[in-house]
Amino acid sequence: MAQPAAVVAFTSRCGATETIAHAAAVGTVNARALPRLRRLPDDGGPAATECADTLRRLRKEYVPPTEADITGSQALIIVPGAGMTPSSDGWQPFMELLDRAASSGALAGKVAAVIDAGDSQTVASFSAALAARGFALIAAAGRDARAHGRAVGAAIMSSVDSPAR
Amino acid sequence: MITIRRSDDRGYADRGWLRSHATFSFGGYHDPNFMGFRVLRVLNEDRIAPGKGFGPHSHRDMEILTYMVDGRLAHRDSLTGPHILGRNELQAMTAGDGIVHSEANASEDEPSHSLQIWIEPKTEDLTPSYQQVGFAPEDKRGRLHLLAGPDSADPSRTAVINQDARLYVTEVGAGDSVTHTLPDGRHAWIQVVRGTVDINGNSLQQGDGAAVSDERAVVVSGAGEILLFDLP
Repeated sequence: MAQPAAVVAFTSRCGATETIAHAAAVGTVNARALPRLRRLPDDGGPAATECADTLRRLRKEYVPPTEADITGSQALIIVPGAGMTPSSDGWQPFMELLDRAASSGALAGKVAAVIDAGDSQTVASFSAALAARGFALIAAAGRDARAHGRAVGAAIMSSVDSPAR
Repeated sequence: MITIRRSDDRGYADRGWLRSHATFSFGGYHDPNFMGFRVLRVLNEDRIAPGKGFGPHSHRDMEILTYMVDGRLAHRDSLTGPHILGRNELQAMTAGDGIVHSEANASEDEPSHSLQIWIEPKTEDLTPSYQQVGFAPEDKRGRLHLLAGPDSADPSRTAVINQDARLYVTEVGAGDSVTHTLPDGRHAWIQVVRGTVDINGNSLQQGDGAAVSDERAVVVSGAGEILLFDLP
């Protein structure tokens, strides 16, 4: 059987949220799951001068999440920047992608987590959006992204270990 | 006993930006007769187009070494970075209980050419780490230079790996003969980096490999560069 996978979707322009996403991804690896790091497209505009090189690299290194990524994975971890909402630029199309997957029943049984990048309101709004689309949310114990990723990884690995569940 | 693995018999994948020869089964290439040799699990020869590379991805429980043949690679991981790896340098990464990394050709103009090596660690769940070592070209000429091993007298020249395995490099020229003694129970893998060499009477070309077991020594001559893995 294929290794259980978790999509780690994030937005980042200057690399700070990317670092948090990597920590969450490492957590899933700790639990022996497979992370698929996906960066949501930005608006294509120029970055602040101090972030120009990082933004160029981010645009080059990552691909955006696809519906196949989501339906082919057992879990979704999202890392939105502080202050974002599910209707923010970048996230709105992603939520529509989830809606399409949900409408075909493809999200049934999947778990999700929202990693706190510094704003509890952001976590709350994204958690509600994911719950509304049928995900079972894995709560965070504090703001440790790696520990949160590990909890998600453990959840999907245990579902594989116990196929009757 | 010496078993030769010819370059053209290796697995091959062409993704456009990446041309990769796999000595052992890897990714979409699977041959049950070539799943590795001793603790050596992966030996890929990668040519990466300018400005291209592998995006961030994860590894677990593997000692991952990269030896540059030509060009430069840019490496980033969830521990450190960025790092630039060039000729006469080796990168050693312990994936341990989990690491995320990316690697790309650091040049926008020239292709990169490297060997990626995976060695099984002696235990699982190690703490991830990154090392990079370098050496002067003359350090490998006509003698074996230790690139990686289970211990290191000089961490700037020899990387420490979590396995009872040693990786040497040597470059031989006209009149050179380099001998590596193999104690009982030890094995060797030879990988030709460039040129044409003679290994215990067997001629090997660039890209060829050889598994060596039940031999007292490996004797290298000819004109070329090889990696020699001393394995349990």
